[in-house]
Amino acid sequence: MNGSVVVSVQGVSRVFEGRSPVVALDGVSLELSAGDYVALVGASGSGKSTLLNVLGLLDQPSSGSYSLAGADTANMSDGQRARLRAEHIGFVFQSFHLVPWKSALANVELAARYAGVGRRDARTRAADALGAVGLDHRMAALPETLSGGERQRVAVARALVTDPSLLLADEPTGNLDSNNTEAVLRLLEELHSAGIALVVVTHDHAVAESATRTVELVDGRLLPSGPK
Amino acid sequence: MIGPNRMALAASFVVSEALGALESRRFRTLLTSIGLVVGSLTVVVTLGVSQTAAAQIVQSLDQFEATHVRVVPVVGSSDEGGGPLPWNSQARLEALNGVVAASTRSEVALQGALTRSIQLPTSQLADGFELEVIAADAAIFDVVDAELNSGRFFDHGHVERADNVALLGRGAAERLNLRSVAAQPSIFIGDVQVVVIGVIGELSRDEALLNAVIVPVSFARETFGLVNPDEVSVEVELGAGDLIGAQAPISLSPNDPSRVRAVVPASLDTVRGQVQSDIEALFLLVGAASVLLGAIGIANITLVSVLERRHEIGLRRALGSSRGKIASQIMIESFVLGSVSGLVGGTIGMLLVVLIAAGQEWTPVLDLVFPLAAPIVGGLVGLLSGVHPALRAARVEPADALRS
Repeated sequence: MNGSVVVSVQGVSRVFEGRSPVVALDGVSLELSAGDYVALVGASGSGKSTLLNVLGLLDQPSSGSYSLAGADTANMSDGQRARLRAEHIGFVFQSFHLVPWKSALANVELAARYAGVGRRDARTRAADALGAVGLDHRMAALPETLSGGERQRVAVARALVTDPSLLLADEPTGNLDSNNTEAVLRLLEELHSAGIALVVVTHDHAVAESATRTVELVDGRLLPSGPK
Repeated sequence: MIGPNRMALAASFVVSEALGALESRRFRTLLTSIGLVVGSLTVVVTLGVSQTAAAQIVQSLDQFEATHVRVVPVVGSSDEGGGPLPWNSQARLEALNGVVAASTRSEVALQGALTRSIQLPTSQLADGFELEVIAADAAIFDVVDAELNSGRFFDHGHVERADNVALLGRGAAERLNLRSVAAQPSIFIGDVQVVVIGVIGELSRDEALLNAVIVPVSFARETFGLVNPDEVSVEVELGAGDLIGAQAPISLSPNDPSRVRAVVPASLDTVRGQVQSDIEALFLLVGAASVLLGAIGIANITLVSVLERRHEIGLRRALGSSRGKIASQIMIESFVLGSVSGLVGGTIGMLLVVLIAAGQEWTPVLDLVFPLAAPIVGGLVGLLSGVHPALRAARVEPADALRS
């Protein structure tokens, strides 16, 4: 899959209307291919989260175009965007965001079910994904009984279970100690090697260093950058 | 990539997620359901008890009212012989199957004549009182279920001989200062002397007789020139009112039954329906109020639950749930909650009806439609209660929810 264009963002702007309109993104263009590993950096308020939300189809740009896996997202209905999100995008959040009353296995299974996988197949995939992140012995555990590192690995497994073409991670190591940070970085590198396009928002130099490309946002504008 | 066969899986998935969400908050689910359980229970108990009680009440209803038929001339009817009611009305009606007793009943026109008693103090003796004088057959005492305070009733012999005897109602006796009839005191109706042979203390119908002087109809015809009966008072067997009401006019006025009208008691079905609707109206109001409170409870707690689950809803949206699926899940949660509450309430309600009926030694009567409808109605109430929370949940922006 390496080389095929997964994300194509052209001149995307995002303006939050109000008494004093806020321009969060200003003419951003970005192209990601399968296997790209991009660290998205910038100061607070530079537009990183907004860009991540646009890429994740959680927000719509005010102008410009965004194509994901060859599909133009501009005129999609909420249902179509949800479907595209479920099938092509995996999310890893700083705060893990696991459903507290579901086991680790059920949390991972949930993403597969939203992607349209049948119950039995979803369970098998979820077990495999948890095995891939080294948590096959914690499948039945509830999130509250897991450590921070284990929770984040469950979140990574959940992002992987649908075999996405794009993985978006927002400060994935922000709440982890150094050991768990290393473990998560190793997982991200494995995903990169597997051909998934990765975009990681981070303030962590170690994470930025592990990426193949770093792009910086300043006041909603993307600074020119290139491969390391 | 994952194949698009989600349509077939979506419904069962959303249902299982809704059930899982309810199960994960068991205690809150239980508390939320209490209002609607009580509401549906109240409705089922109300309907069951009112149906059971109505059936029971009819059995112990004032049977004297339910078994009394009055036959009266139609206003404006007349013929050369007087009115349409014959003097032998008693015999004609008592020949009908279903009639227990019958008597003519006529008010004697006294032209202002007063009734006096020699027992009265001298000062009142000259004046007397305007008392109603009723001429009747001997069977009148059976028809009105009269009980004596003292003395005796007049009988068929008195009527055949047209004896100048009378019975006084309790009120009339007090006014005439007659405490005992042991000495067979006389009273004067105008200038006509009659012997008082008894005082009526109680009766079950036609309470006007308690303030009247009752004389044999034959005596009244001879002495006061009574032309024809005013009406015929009939005691019928329970449930025979409609039949006798239809037959009496033909029996008494065969040439033109339309000249006679029977006033019959409400049929048992009518009485049952009336009693039932009276009870139901009151308690259904209570039940409806309970259901409404239950619905408001579900709506409120579901809304609170939606607000508390903003993160989870945002996450589900990020994982690929559409707004429609989120709304569906909340609606299904409310529907299941309402439906199960209705089922539980309906079941407990049925058991209560049976227990109440057993405690009263009644036969439980309950239309099965009501307990069967309880989960359906509960589900609909739940659905309605879930509309607002579902819309709120669908409007949750995943980016905001996951950031907060």
